[in-house]
Amino acid sequence: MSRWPAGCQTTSACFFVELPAMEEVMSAQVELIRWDTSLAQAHEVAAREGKAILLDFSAAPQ
Amino acid sequence: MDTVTYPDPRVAEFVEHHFLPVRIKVEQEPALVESYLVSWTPNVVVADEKDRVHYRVEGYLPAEDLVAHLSLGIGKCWLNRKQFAQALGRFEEVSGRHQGTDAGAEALYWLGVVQYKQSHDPAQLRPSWRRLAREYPDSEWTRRTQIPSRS
Repeated sequence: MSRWPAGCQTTSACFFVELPAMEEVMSAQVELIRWDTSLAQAHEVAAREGKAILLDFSAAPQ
Repeated sequence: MDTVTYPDPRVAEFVEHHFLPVRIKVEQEPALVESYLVSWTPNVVVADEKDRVHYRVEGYLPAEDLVAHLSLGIGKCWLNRKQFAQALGRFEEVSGRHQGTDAGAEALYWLGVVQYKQSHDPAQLRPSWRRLAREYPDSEWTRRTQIPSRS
């Protein structure tokens, strides 16, 4: 249900957009991929932890 | 990929959780482009610490499809390492969660392979491959199961 600010009347010229609660904003935040690992670092961690390496070749080759 | 697919929370979460992500700028790393046989981008390679390639996605894929194929890549890693229980779980998961997609069909193919490898019993190929033929009659993966008999 919308909470109308004090003094605001519902007329065709008056619009009130209810903002989402802070927790909704926080939960909608996107976890971005961190591409800052070098291949040498990835080899080390992969050897230690058995995790797979994802290589993204990112631009069109010349 | 950077504008739509990688920022998608499903992709970002999956990659961060399951992989060590490394970006190779092709103009700056010609030796790696050569050694990983990259002739076109986007080109996403699932590899291990010894630079062995277990899976590859060439060309653009939407978020959900990319997650499915990366998940197959993890399954292929387990299969190639002969970690059959983990591979089985991964292919079962992809075949269920991505049912009706190309990745779902591929997962059933590899599921049969893992079941055979685990048991050394060719009969163990059949349940998954029958399901593949039933659910994906037109898939290339179904055709790959149809070994021609000698006449």
